[in-house]
Amino acid sequence: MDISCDNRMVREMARDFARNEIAPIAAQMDEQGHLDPGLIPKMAELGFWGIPWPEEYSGAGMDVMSYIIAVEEISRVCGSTGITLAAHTSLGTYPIAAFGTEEQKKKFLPPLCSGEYLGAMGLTEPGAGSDAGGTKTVAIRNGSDWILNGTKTFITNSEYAGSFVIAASTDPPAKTHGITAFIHERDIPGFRVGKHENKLGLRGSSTTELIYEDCRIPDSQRLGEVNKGFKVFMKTLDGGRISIGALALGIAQGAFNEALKYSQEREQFDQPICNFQGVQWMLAESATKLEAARHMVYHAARLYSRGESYHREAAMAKLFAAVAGREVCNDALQIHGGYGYIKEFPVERMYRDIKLCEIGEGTNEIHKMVIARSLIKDGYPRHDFE
Amino acid sequence: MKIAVLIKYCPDSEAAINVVSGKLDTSSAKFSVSPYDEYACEEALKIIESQGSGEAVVFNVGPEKNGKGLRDELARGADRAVHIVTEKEITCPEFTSRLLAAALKQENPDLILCGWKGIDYDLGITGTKVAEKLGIPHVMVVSKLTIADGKAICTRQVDSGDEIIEVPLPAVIGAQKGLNEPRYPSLKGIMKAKKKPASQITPAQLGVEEPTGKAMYTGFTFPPSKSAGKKFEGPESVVEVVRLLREEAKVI
Ligand SMILES: Cc1cc2nc3c(=O)[nH]c(=O)nc-3n(C[C@H](O)[C@H](O)[C@H](O)COP(=O)(O)OP(=O)(O)OC[C@H]3O[C@@H](n4cnc5c(N)ncnc54)[C@H](O)[C@@H]3O)c2cc1C
Ligand SMILES: Cc1cc2nc3c(=O)[nH]c(=O)nc-3n(C[C@H](O)[C@H](O)[C@H](O)COP(=O)(O)OP(=O)(O)OC[C@H]3O[C@@H](n4cnc5c(N)ncnc54)[C@H](O)[C@@H]3O)c2cc1C
Repeated sequence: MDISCDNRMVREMARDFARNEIAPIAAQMDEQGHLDPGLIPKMAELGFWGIPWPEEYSGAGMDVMSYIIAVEEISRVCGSTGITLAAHTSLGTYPIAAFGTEEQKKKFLPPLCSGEYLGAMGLTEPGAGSDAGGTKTVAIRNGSDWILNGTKTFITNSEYAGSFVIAASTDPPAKTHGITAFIHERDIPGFRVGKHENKLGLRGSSTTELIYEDCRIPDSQRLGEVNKGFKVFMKTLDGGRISIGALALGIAQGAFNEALKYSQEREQFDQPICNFQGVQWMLAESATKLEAARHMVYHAARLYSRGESYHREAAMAKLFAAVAGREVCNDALQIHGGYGYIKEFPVERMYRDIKLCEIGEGTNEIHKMVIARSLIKDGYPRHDFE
Repeated sequence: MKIAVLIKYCPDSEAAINVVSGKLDTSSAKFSVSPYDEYACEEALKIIESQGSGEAVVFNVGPEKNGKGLRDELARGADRAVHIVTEKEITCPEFTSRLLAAALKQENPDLILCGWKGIDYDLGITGTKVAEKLGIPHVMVVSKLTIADGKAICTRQVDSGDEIIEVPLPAVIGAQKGLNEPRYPSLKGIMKAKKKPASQITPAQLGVEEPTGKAMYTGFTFPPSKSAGKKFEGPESVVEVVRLLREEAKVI
């Protein structure tokens, strides 16, 4: 596939790093329900936490494709580390880099890019998931500050985060037109990180509630204009979707690799099971799905890099990679027979991990809604209507 | 201190190698820097870091594509690359070492590090030949290296213990596994590598001609495939194992 020399070097480095440093601890992180404490600093040393941001903010100054490839490679061995990187970069850091003032960028980007702390983004609430416009957390102006009250739920990276980008309603009756984005640090009065969710998969990643009780945030940490926050989050999710596509692609590729190897080693009926057509068809279909998913995810990343519109393509790539990836993981487990159901084999974990890709940053159904709206508005394919 | 590192760009240790009518076919193999050369480069970087200054220059002989291997080492932290570009891969160590020696003479490094062997042909001779051509000492298969007072103190592990060898600099030191743990190239390192100086020279520019009357590879074959092993468990199988070792394997 057509990738640059930088992209190739990132792939090799990320693959070596993932194989040597993450794969050996992936099962343990899943079991214990948190990341290995040494992993974040180790990844920081190599610059993983700031891949696509400018060097002046301590980023690596690379293209989005390099970032997407890094997420894919890491997710091949550990989805939990993959989503931690994806949520940090696309949700926790992107909105500040894209919408922040120079002052906000100077304050938050260097520690985020250097991995001094991670970033999190809080949009979802107990009563506002797919309908993110239904945000109940309110921010009321008080002098030069805002006072926040409300609860966010399912927020990735909270345990490790030093900065949070969150949505609050500043004009509740106006719904989506009354949402404002804020950035805040971890240790501020009136804010606390709630309970750690006990999850089906991606168990090594941190998912918690965020609780705001008369929490004061200065107006200087408002991100973007008052009542214009919904756009900030929708644009953030557009890019985030490419990274969840890469997460799905990586997890599924990892499961496929295990299955391909296992099918050549496992013998039944006096021969390797890869001789059986029933197994071959699973392998062939899985590889074909991976190939298609990879083209779609990389295509969306390229559109992003070139500064073209990627809204629909990112949604299509995420939807396809998540569904196809879940099917690939299912077949990979099936090829392992009873052993695939047992924790000694990594496919068991990968099968659980990939399910999130059909839910997080918008469910499959919401993605179809996003895609359909864009079809009705702009036609398909794009160039036919230009 | 100026340190030269000689690197070879080889099929990856996990690459599938085919033999087609007696010739090696590496067309579908992934190439990477030979692991022993990665130890050599890491050692150069560590010496420079511990001394607070210096320059690590990586050298390679081979076709255009080998530039990728040099760039990998620049991304790890080497300062500069010298690529002696040949049309094809050179499989004659005499030719390779003549080219390297000619290029090294122009650079005058204080220390030359290389892998003690390449993982492709397993010859383990190029470093020694370079030292001979430059008229300087060499120590190969080194698993610990200390540089002090213009000398290199090298440790070689032998069956019964360690050999400690001291040589004056400049010298050629061949790295063995265990010398260090090579670092990963950082993402910033990958970006910086593009801006680091990398020069290309041809054998003609170095005034080196291909030697004649040299040893040549005339063919390759795969070893005969092994039949499946047998598994024995429990103390009760000892008698059977001994019988098979004596009667079938004929080793006792
Ligand atoms: C592990 C994990 C990490 C997460 N990380 C973050 C994070 O970092 N930040 C953050 O803000 N959020 C995060 N989320 C939240 C995630 O984005 C939401 O869970 C997701 O958007 C779905 O919302 P919900 O759970 O409320 O489901 P609901 O919205 O209640 O949906 C339930 C079902 O109804 C369907 N549905 C809803 N509306 C429609 C419709 N109009 N048409 C058809 N079907 C519909 C959905 O598709 C789904 O199948 C995370 C979630 C998980 C599980
Ligand atoms: C939780 C659990 C409980 C169990 N309980 C019991 C129990 O109580 N008693 C008991 O005896 N067993 C039990 N089993 C074992 C179970 O019946 C086997 O795991 C199952 O029959 C599959 O065998 P296998 O795991 O060896 O897979 P394999 O036979 O190795 O199969 C691996 C893959 O190859 C495919 N395959 C194999 N042969 C062919 C072929 N000829 N053509 C096409 N595809 C082929 C399979 O469909 C599968 O996808 C249990 C297993 C589990 C996981």
